[in-house]
Amino acid sequence: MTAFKDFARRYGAIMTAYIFVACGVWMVGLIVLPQLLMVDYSFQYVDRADESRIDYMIEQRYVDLQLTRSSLRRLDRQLDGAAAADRAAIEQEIAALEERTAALEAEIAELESGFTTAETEYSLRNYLYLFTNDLHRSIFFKTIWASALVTLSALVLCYPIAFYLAKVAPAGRAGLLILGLIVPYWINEILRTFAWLMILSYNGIFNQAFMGLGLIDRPIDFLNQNIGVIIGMTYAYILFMVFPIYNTIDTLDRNQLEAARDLGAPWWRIHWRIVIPHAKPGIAVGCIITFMLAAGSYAVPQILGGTSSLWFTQIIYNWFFEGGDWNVGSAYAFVLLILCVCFILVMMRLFRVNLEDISR
Amino acid sequence: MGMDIELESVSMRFGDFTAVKDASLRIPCGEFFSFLGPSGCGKTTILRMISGFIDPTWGIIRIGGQDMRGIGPNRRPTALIFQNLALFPLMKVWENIAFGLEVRGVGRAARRRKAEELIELVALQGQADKPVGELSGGQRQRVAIARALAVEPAVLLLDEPLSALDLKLRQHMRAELRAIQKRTGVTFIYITHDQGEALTMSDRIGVMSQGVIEQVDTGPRIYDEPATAFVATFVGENNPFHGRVMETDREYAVVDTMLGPMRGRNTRRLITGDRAILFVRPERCRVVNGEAIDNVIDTSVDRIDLEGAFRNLFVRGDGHRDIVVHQTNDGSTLDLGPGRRTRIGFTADDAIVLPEAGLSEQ
Repeated sequence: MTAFKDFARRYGAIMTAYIFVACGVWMVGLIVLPQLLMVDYSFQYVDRADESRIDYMIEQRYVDLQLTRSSLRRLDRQLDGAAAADRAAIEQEIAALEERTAALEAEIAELESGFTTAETEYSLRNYLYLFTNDLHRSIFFKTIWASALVTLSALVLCYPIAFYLAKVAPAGRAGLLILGLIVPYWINEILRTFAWLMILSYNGIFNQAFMGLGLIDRPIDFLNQNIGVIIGMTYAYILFMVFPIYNTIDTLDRNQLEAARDLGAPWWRIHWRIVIPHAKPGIAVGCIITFMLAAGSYAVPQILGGTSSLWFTQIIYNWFFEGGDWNVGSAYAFVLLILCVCFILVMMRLFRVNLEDISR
Repeated sequence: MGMDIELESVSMRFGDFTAVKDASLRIPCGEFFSFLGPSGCGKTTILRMISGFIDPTWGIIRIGGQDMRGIGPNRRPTALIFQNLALFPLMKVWENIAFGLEVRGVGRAARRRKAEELIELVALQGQADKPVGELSGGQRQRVAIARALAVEPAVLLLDEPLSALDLKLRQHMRAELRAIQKRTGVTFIYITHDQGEALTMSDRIGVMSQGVIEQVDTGPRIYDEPATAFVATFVGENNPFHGRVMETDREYAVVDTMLGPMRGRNTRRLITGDRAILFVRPERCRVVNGEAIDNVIDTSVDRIDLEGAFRNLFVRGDGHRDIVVHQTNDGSTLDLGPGRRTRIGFTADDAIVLPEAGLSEQ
């Protein structure tokens, strides 16, 4: 309430009301309720053994219905141009078909009602499914370590870049380089990923070039292994790693680097004792964002991955839109969410930073 | 122990800008030497060249007789204390102090022991395990000094380290720095724009202006025998009288100023016809009532400012130039109000005649 008054004093009543309503709608309508619904779904077990049979029966009746209706239309046309003698027979036939239509519609309605009132019970079976299905379980763990690997390679790649931008490059060049980092991100993620498809594909630029130089004997099949996905993702999320680290290193007093150097420290020790401890919140934020984006990525594995490099998100997608089982899909998605939250907590503990440091 | 430092024709250019011009200087081992000058005069550049963060464009820097070219700051026997101290905020006091030892691979117990010794030296007992952020300005200052001394440098370089402190603390730290220097015997090179600091602490002072070392000498000689017009105006207050040399005899020269001929010491051996400035310090001028004195000026009083222990008497000659006279507030009545005519006098020995060339308009 005091926060509200404080806001009102600063921005006026209308603006304040707008901000609070907008935030409320956003938080409740777009975050809390959908999540709760999903969590609720995930604990509902629906026995779908019956369902597919009912599904099939409904499907058949719909086909019948279509056929009957087309017959009806045909008879209607005949009726228009028919001789009086024939009319009675046709009308009789129409009546019979209409009766059939009504019967079919009734059957469908009955079947569908049975469908919607299918037995649901609250249980953990949706979750257990993940851990009893060998393929899904292995893909889940693969997604964790591969995302961790993406995070690590992005970190190794981005820390020197961030340090260079923040402390080494002269102001003008740093600006140009940052622009150079950002410009590719004006193109959407799908297109950028397709660019990697061209580079990494079997007859792509990389293989052609390395074959041409005689560095490899035969093309490397990046796309059917995780390596293609990992390269693509590392690239896709570089900015999210560079900028948090850049921002923290940028606030480091240059004199501290010089003081450490003056006291005799070699470059690696300056990084280990001065720069990295200072950049810790930035590193933690970069790792968290990159890991979450990688674990939750769908487009990159879809484009750069093959059948043997499935990502957990693809399994979730399949449950929702191909398997048609939202309940198991919700359970899988919820497990992914829990994983990401755990990762955040582990990172915060590991880097000994708290939420305040991160939001800085 | 300290080492001596030698600059031989050292120059530093940044693009078109010459930060330091042909500096030659020898600072003997164990001396407390100050570079004094206004901001932008090149004193920090000299310090950074000695510490090794930049290499001179020309010239040679020797520390302990050894040419320092190509030797990085981490391998020089120097330690630098930064203007903002640059303590490591994520480390405790003792870790800050022991950082240089940690770098050299000294074990933790030995580091701690050495840190404790230094903590005692700079009078910070009981603060070892505090984060540096919890210390006061003066305490942080001491940590910076201890951290620099921990690596046992032969030369300690200080870049205006007292400028962030309040007046009382600054005066206290001056004495402290001086005492530490005497105790350790390390060569101190101190950068400041504050003449009070330079004069109270230093064995010798180098006064710099626009990249040039104008004069190197002891504090009293810098004050009493300035070698150039810049030194005369920058160090302490001075009343300048511009003109041409009319005549010279052995020790003295007479300058033809707008307020008439004035006589002063001719330490720079100017000859008749040279453009010159005669300088006289406000505390060497006095109000005269007919007694015989070398130089007398007819003036009218402009205003009087009371400073407490002394008064500043601002008077004007016909040249419409303010002349400042310091008068001790010794109880003698002063019947001078603004507008009153009065005569100001000073001896030829209290005035100094210096060449006008090379003085940038202050």
